[in-house]
Amino acid sequence: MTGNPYTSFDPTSLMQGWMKTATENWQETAKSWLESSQGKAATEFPGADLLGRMFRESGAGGGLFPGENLAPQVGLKMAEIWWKGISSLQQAYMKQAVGQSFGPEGFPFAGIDPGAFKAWTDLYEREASNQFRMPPMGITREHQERTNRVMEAFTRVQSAMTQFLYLTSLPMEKSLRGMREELSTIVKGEMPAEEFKALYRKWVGILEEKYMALLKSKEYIEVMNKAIDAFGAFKSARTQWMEEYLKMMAVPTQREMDDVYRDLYNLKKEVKELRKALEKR
Amino acid sequence: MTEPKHRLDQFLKEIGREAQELQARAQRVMNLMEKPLETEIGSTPYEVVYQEDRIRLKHYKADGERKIKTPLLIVYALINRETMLDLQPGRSVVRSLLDAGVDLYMIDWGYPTRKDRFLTIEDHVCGYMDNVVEFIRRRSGSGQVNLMGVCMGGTFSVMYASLFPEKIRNLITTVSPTNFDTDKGLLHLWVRGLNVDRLVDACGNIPGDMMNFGFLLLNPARLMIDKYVGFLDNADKKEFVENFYRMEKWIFDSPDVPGETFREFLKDLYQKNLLIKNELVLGGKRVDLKKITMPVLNIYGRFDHLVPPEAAGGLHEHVGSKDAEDFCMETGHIGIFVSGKAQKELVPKIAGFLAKRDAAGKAAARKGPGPGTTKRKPRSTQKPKKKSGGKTR
Repeated sequence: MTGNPYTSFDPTSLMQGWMKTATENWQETAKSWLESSQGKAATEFPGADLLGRMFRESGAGGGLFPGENLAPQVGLKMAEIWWKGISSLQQAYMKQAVGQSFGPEGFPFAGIDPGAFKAWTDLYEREASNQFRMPPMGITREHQERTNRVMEAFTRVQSAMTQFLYLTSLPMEKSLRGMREELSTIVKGEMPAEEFKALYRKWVGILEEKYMALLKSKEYIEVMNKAIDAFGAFKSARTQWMEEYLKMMAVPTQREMDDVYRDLYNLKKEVKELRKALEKR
Repeated sequence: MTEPKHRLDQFLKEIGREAQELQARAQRVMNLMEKPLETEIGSTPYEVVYQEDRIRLKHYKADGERKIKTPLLIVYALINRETMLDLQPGRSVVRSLLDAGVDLYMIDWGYPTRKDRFLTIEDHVCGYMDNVVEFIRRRSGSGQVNLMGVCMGGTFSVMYASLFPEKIRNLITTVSPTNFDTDKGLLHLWVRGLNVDRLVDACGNIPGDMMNFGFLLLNPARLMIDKYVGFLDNADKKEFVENFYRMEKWIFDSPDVPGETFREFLKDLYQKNLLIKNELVLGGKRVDLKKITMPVLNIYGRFDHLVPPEAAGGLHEHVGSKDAEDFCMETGHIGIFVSGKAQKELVPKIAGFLAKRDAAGKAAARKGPGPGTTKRKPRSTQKPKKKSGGKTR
């Protein structure tokens, strides 16, 4: 194998092989079932024999059904999309991990490379979000639309919060790495032994410094605002989704209560203004 | 290789010694925790003299003579609770002001519920605050009141003093942001690009826990780690433990912030900076800082990371008053009220400022309530009921 073993491995061929085997297995299972039930069906359901032959022979291009390969083909396509995406995500992560610098100067907060988070976001925007945005049909379409909105909002908030928490944990990681080097120099005798408290104070000072640098950085502020925005969107979508079930249970929804509160607020304001006007007379 | 080994031994010996000390301290801590601790906050006696919706007006009972006749109304922020001004014996701004002879009132904003989510800044300033001021004026017989604001309460007080200058004798603002266009202070940086509408529409009232988490993020190293390490270091000292618990009680006692007030405060002030530009409108009236013509004392902390000097200082340059003073203390946002050193500086400064101007204003007080006061007709002047011939309805 040439090149970096972490970045040159493509698991797509493995996935294709597995899907092909699984599809063939299910096709055989379906055919066996149909053959064994054909005799029974022919006496109980007129025309069942004809339907069975049509189903079996649909691979030749005829028949009512488009082919027993359709469902497995669609599933294989979807799985392939996800698999390719996940493997590209893995490659992006590996490239970042291998190429990352751990020098004593610390992590360059000013130029944080989104890395794996960007790859995930791109994957999501390219592939998964379209599936959530497909317009549903039928009597349950309203419910399905609300559910899709919640799922999409949930995915976004998960990604945004993960990125935010990852950034927030970076100063801890870097400061501890710096202290490990310090401890090792003490053990080697290159530095006088210090008390624990002094070491701790030094570590807290470093940690505070790194946090101050991070918290002011443009990237952190963007990520934090994105996380708050995603949280707000998820909360709204979830509230709308739950309202449907609350209505079924005859429980007032938040929106209905807010309408009442708004009316109450406006009425109270009007009463106060009227009272003031009366008192002035 | 003997020297490195000696240093390693020394290092290990110190670890061992620390461990022994730790064990002894743990025992002392256990002994301390088993006994009752005095952690009550807001213990200075008061009377609730006015209530409206969720807010209450507290009037503190003075032990001695009231040397400053004009009553002082303290308006705290909507974030956290006003009990910080009366946190512990010996470090209570309330107690110190009472000892200085101040007739003290304080607004308790209470705990907003979902019902309060539509309340705006106008409702707080032109509604609740004005009703409270009117009440104090009637109750005390004083034509004007002294107004002191803390943090966001100070911002509200500036708005109020601009809209109702005739009702205010002296204005004091403490750690109060008035100029929000600065890059100093993380809050100013963070809020600038925030989608406030999305957050308020989703949450209604902004949860107190969310605010707490945000404030902790301002300095995670000190506020989430070092603070508790410091506690462990001193956990065997009764007074330290009690004071620590009092502070913990206060700092995590965060009411929700009414949604519309939060929306306006962040959009109109933090993001558009309308107040200092005299472009803020409340109740159809423009808040014009030049209409603040009464004496102004603006106190802020040099090391305040929440309201930096760039946000709080310089108010004297924007008001119309000829008697306006900025006073910078060498403290942080909370330390200005609770640190021992600040206690000796803050209250004497406030009391001295008020006392000097109280004598000058006594003539105004004797005139009674000023123009714009809502007068209630006393019962004796009400028209008698008409008597018809023998028949009554």
